[in-house]
Amino acid sequence: MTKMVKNRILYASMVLSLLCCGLWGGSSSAAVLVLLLLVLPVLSDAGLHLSMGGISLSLDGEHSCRSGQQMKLKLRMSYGAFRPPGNVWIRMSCENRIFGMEKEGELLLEAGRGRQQEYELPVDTDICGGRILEISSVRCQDLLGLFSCKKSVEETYAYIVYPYEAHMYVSFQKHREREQPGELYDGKKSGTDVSEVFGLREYREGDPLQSIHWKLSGKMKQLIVREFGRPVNYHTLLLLAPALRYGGREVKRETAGAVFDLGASLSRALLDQSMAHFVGYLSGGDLHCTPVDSMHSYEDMLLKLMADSLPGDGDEVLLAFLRRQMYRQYTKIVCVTGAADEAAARDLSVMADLTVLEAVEGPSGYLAGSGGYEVVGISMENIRKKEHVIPL
Amino acid sequence: MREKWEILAPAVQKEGRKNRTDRLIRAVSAAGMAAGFAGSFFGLAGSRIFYFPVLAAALCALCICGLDQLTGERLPGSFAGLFTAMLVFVFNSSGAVRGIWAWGDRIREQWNQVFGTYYESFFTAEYTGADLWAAGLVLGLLAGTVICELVKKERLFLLTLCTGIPLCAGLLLAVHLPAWIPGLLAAGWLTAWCRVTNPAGTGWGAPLPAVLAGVLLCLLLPVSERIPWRDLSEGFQTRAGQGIRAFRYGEDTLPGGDLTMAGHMLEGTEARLEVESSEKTPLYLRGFVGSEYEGDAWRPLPAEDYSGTYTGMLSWLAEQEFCPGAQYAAGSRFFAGEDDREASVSVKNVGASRCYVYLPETVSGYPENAGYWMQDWSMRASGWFGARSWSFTCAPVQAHAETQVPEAWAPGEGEAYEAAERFRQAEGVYRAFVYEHYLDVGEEEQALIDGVFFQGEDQEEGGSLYTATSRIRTVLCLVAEYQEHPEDLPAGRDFLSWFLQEEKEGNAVGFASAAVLAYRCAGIPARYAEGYLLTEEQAGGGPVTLTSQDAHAWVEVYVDGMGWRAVEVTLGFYEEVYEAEVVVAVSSEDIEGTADGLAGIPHTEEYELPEPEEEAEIPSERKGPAGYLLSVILILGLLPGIVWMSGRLVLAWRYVRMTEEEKMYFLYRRIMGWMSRLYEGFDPGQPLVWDGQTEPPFDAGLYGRTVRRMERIIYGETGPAAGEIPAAEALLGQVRRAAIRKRRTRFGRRKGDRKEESVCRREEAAENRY
Repeated sequence: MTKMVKNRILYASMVLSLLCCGLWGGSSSAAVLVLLLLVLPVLSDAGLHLSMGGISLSLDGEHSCRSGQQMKLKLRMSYGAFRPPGNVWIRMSCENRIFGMEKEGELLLEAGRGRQQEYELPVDTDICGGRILEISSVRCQDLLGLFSCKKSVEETYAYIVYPYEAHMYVSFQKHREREQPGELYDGKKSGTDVSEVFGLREYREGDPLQSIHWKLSGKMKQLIVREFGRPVNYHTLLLLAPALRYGGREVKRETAGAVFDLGASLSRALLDQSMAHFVGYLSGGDLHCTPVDSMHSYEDMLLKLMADSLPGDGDEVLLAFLRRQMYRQYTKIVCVTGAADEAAARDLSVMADLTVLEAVEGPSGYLAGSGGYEVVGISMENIRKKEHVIPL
Repeated sequence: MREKWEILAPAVQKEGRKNRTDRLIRAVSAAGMAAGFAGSFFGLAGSRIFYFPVLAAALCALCICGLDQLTGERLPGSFAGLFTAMLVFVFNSSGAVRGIWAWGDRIREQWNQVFGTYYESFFTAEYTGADLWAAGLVLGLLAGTVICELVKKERLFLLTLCTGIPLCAGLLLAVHLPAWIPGLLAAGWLTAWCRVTNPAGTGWGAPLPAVLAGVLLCLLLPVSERIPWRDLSEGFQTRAGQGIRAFRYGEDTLPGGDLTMAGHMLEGTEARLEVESSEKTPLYLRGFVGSEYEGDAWRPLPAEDYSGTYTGMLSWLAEQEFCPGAQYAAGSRFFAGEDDREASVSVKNVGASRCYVYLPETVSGYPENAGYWMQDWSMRASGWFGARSWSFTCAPVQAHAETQVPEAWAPGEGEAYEAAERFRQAEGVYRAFVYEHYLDVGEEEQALIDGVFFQGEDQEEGGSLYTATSRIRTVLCLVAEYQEHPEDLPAGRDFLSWFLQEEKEGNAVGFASAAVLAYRCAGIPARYAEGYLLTEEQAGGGPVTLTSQDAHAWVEVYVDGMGWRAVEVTLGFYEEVYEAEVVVAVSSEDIEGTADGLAGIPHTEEYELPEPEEEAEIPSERKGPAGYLLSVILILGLLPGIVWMSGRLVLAWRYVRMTEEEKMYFLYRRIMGWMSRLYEGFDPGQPLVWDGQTEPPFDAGLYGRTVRRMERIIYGETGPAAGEIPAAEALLGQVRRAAIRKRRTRFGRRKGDRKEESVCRREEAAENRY
């Protein structure tokens, strides 16, 4: 039962009781009292309707901010002849386009004086995402709380909450000798590039005859083979897998937000270290990879990221990546996820150099390496509290 | 995914201003409401010293709000208020307690006055104005604390209760308070209401409805008298009361004291009560009892009659095991009696009003679980929907009520004696109450009754019941006719004058109403009763269904020591106990003793004992054309009859003027005369012996006792005691009837002519009574 209905029942009970007692007692003052109690709501309702005529509102403020940052959104209310005597509510809804979540409710505006009132609306910036704030109606109540009047208004306001950029430093495991991509050789694995010798070793059955180092073999009195270099095209892909479900297991909304934060922070860190890279994400069932090699492209990437909705399941991202065999294009893949899919990660790690960056709950992160790839766990509680060093 | 939220968006303005305004409004509304509450509550008792609690409550509320403001609500101000109230109470606890009790008792008085209830006083100690001041201070502080706390906690429902209860109570109890007190209460409540229902605050808008209400009140109060509220109220009270009563107890045709409904008492044939009695005794099953005549209705005695000197009387009587409603049965245990056959009666209510547990005045073992005695009237059903069945026993009835004479006081010994003494004391107290409250007659009614029943004579107080009854019956017989469905009383008319002087016909309601007032004028306490009549013919023969046709009204008179007794005064419902043919005035000097022990009765020139005459044949009751013919004959014979009746009335007047001894002497002669006719060769000087094979046609025991007493009086040994003359008159009636029956039997008359005989005798009684 709403409050207004309760108020009406209570008020009507009071009036009826006084009426019955007054009729029984025969006192004419009861008639006056009952008449007063009946007239007051009528006058109050009339005042309410009179005040509803000139109501208008507008929203003003910033259009973007970082996650966790305070954002000021001002609501300006204008009344007609006089301010409604009772309280005023606005029906508001806020949609987060990435998460597909909608928050709605009635916002009670504190009473003030004058016909122009300004309010600061509470804006939720805890989680990133594009937001659409919509005010659909204004409801005013009379002074006695017995009647209300609703007026439709259409006021929409869009803003973006960008992911939080944590302080992050990338520690590269490979020595990068050249700045341009494509001029580096892998220090761990040999290849077939004869222009670069990776190493020397004894002959094993199956080695090509061309690789035998005849000069050294004569000196060493045994067959010595040259291992050729493997050119490393340092194409780094940040594969973002934010989702509310991983492998059918539900995770918190904050986890998905933390994935965005980690991805944006890592991308920014790479950019700060002059490391151009790609950022991949699932959008509309397709895997998109956006190059990020400047602040402009970085912001573009964020904008596109904030405009799309989350995939249904976070594991779909890795699976889609594997199905499309896009691993051939990249030499380093960093998968930022809320829960690692071990099987897919193991499969991918065979094809490419994989590091998994996982947003975990709890106060502390971890670093683990198994199955041919590394897993770096970053505590969600500490993302915004300290600087992180990410080994790649 | 959808989520809901409701939060308050702070306005961009200074916090301090909003809080200051809100706190001020809160303090004002709490103080106003507390003051109005204390004043309204304390004023319910009708006391004029409600200003003190008003002030105390207002100040207490303001102080509490101020304390909260100073301490930032770290120290609850309500504790300070409670502490202060406790301190005041401890300082003068006895006075405050007395004051509170006195205040509560005053409300009880007011309640009794408005609702016609009879709650007894629970506080009879003396108290002073200082006690009321102390109580007012304590109550005011408590009110201020509680109201302030409720306003602070925003308990709207409790605040509304605290406003509604004193306002409604004041309206119900018709308390006259200055308008500003309930106005203050209503204003405080409205302000608190606006504040609570607008959680985001209203600024200075919260007091706006209160201010508006005040303005409207000032405009409307002067014109409020023009609203026909009283008519609406009376109609509402009547309809609501009737509706509630009908819902709870059902409806029947008994008027319930409303004389305007007398004509509808015998309407319909719906079954009302199913009665089964073990003995063949008539039962007057009593329902409504009326004690105050108000022109068009009988009302019970008001509550103030049971207060003052008689405060607690009924409780004390109950402690003494004295029940006015069952006094006859209780008292008859202490009087010598020969017949102890109690009647067992069971009653099932199948259509009568379930408000009453219909019991006769002779009830001895009454069903305590079925109801409770309502004052000293009748038994009310205790269930919410009344009583549906009950059983009781009745004490045997020795004689007709009008001839009721307390037999010898036989209190017994030991515990029985103590019980008897207790009964006597209690009866003495109750008798004083009865004589103070059941003899009231208005001046106009007194004049009318005197003129109709007593021809303007001064009535001797303590006149005999039988004398009064005979006179009342006679006059009613002359003045009015019995009519089952009389005309309704015209609006605005007095029932008594309309019945006796204008309409001159009615049913039992009219006869009983006139008779009650006549008895009172004759100095005999009487009251009006309604209910259902189980006649002697109906009783004792298995279950009987009483219908609306058996609804009845009668008189109850108070017989000293024996309690209330039903007396029948309605034509066709009673038989004459005795009818005197001749009234002889004999002076005491003429009574002389003779050698043979018999008194010589002087024969004066004026009065001679006539020889018994042959009973004139009286035509049967009028029916149809025969009745009209008889009426013509009577009218034609009226003229000489008037002359003759005048002579008889003079004789009757002289009989009334006789002394007790003269009356006794006359009655003795009459009895002896009839005995001579009954028994051939009867000798007054010889004891009367029956052969034992046939029962004497009259009460032999009464005969023996009465004749012995009469002889003692005649021979000058002693004077007549109270009640002996009615006994003698009763004996004369029995003997005369026996002689008449014997004569009629001799001439071949049927026994069923008793009723016809009664009809005949009614008409002859006017001629022959005195």
